Amino acid sequence: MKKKEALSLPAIGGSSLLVIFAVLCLTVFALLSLGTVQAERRLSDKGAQAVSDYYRADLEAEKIFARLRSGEQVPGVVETEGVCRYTCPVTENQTLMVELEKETWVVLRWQVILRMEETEEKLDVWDGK
Amino acid sequence: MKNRASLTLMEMLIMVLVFSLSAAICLGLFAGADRLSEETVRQDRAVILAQNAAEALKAGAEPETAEDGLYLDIREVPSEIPGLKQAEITVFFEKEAIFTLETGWQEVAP
Amino acid sequence: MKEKNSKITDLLALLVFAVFALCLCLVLLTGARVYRNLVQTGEETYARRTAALYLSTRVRQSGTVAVEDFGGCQALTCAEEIDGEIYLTRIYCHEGYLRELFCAENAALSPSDGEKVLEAENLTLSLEGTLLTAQLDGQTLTFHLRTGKEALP
Repeated sequence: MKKKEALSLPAIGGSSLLVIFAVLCLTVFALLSLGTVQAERRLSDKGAQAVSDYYRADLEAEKIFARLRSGEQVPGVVETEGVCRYTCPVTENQTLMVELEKETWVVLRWQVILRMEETEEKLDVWDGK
Repeated sequence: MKNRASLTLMEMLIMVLVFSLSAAICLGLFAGADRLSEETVRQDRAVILAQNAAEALKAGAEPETAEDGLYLDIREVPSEIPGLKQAEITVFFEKEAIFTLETGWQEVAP
Repeated sequence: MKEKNSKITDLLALLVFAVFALCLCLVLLTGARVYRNLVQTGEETYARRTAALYLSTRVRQSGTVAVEDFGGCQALTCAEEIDGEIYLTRIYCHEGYLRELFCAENAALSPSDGEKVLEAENLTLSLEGTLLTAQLDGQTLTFHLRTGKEALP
């Protein structure tokens, strides 16, 4: 019963193939979108954390400043040549360094510096023995 | 013996249902991604707003308390140390707290 | 008669298939557009956040900060003393980019010598007492300067 068909008909399974392809594409787009946005959110969280860390250290430094001004002896504050120096850690690698002039309480330094790791360990180099 | 065309039509019907289901799921994922993106933008703006307010307070200036849907609540915190003023800055979006900062500054004797 | 019927059914099936394929294409295109918008928003947000954090970090990590004119544009000048000599880090906007120039105090350099940090159109700075206000492409940042030429009480 072979008819000469004037129009070509979509084969059986043609629409299945199309739908499988479309579903795959759509899923890829959706997952990519979600992944991108989640990565952005993580970065934003890191930024917010960095700001929180700085202000936490800043508040601590202000507290010590106020205590020094009221005449208290604060542990951790080094006084040399009329200048009070102390540090407040911001993160693992950053420290807030403060230098104040003792008499006038002028702020000489209120600076975040990168903490250098001081490694004094020597590497054991094999010397042939 | 079914007509080939009606078979194709039936298959297409099933496939429409399958596609609708998966499209609905993907739409949900897209909506979630969109919502998360908006939250991220809001968080970034909240952080900057809070930071600006904290710096303004420290300089003795008036802080900006609202911007584009976000608003600030600055609550003065009583401080045990004389000579120090402390405040807690919270950024809200539609009654939900997004970001909080605590800051302090020296009280300058008049 | 039967042939005509089956021809109509064939035509119908083809039509439905064509419409179905079209709908599928539309949905895919919409999905692609949503993804592209999301990525674009993400990139813009990233640029804004990075610019704000960069400026904040620079101001906080510097010794003294001042606002100076540098080759026709406003520059945030951070001074640092290294080994007895004063080095300046200038941050300014030039030809569509936010740039950073680290050099000795007396070095004769022009704005185009700066290192490109990120894309930005305009940086406006103003210093009132101890309050530094920086406006970078519509974003406003304020900083309270503790040390610096204008910051001494």
